[in-house]
Amino acid sequence: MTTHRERTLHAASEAARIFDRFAPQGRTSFDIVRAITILGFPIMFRPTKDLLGATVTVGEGARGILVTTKRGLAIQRFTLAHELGHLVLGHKLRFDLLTSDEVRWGPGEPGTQEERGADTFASELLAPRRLVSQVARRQKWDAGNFRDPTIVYQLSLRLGLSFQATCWALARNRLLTEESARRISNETEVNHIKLALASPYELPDSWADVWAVTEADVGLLLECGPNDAVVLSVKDHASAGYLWDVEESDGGFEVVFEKPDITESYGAEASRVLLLRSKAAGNHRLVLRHKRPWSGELAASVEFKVTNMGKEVDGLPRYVKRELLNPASA
Amino acid sequence: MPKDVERMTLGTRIKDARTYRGFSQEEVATFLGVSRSSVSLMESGQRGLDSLELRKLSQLFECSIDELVGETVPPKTAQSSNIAMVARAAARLSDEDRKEVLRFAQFLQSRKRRKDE
Repeated sequence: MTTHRERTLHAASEAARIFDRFAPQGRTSFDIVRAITILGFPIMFRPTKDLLGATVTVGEGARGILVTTKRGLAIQRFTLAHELGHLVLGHKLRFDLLTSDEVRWGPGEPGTQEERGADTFASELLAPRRLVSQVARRQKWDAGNFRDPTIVYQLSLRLGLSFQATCWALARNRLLTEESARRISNETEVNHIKLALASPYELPDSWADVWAVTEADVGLLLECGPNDAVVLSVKDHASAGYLWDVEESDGGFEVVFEKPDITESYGAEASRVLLLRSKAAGNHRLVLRHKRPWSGELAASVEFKVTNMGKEVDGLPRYVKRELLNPASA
Repeated sequence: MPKDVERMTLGTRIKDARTYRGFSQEEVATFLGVSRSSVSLMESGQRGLDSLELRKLSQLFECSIDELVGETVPPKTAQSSNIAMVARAAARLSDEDRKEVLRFAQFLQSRKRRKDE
């Protein structure tokens, strides 16, 4: 009989093993779909209403993961990691669930030992301390900043986790006390944060997120939803006469407004804030050039990589479809 | 079975396999090197497929050619005794959700059969 601590350590060490094998490159979130696919487990997304996800085995050795399309990307990702946990931790699957009326454990409920083990695995895989620290270092956040719900929200977007899951990952990584994590998770109205960040722009729906992006995000993939807004803060690198200009050739985003950053103190380097909204879902390059409009003389240029396709839709994962449609590139 | 009925059944199976996996007709057309309307005609049984097209579709759908042409009955997994699962759910599973699990089990079996070939 193993203890709770032993089971937690086992789940964490298995998650670390998988994380090492598929450590994120050029992005801040763990690519869970790619990892599961390469590990050999098929994934299918379907419009199941109550079923968030399931690990299914048929006969001898045909195993795979089914995930709902009725929830957002963050829930889809956590569910995938949770289901992978069942497979990697060798949990015993049951044969009676399709016919019995057994009560199933929902998210947030204590669940069985196996459910808790799979949750620990998922959290350790998607938000291990080293990944959180890596994002924080780049953004120049310290542990004190994690008491600020706006920072936690921005971290959650970069990790591809829900706000609540991020609070708990911070507590698990001892970057927040359990009490603070609980308070922030329970008391924060994420929609208020979004409205404040995007104001006066009105988001098209309540699921849309608002990414506060700075030059610290250059070179990293921002994984947005199709209706998300990007609030870009850029520093003026040169004296008067230079303007930030968004290259629109890509067609993915358009500038909704541009204004000076009023939070800058007098005498500090001038900054501009641009709010962009997406025009078309896809993989985009967001290029900004700081130049003299009349002469084209360039003072600086920054480039962001953005994918704004959002959650997975019914069928195979986008990554798998791409591989199947282009076998030569696989 | 008359040829046109056979063709129509084949078309239905192709459409079912395509939509379940989330491919558009456009994507399948590009993959096969034909027009989108050709895929539409295939699915409605108004155009036949040559052996190369069948082979490519079985590769894209990760199932056997036999299954596409109907020489192998799709794996019968309607008996839940054959399926083991662990579910993360917000409530008891509805009949629709159970059907989705069974359909997924069928997909897994069909995919495994092709890998084992």
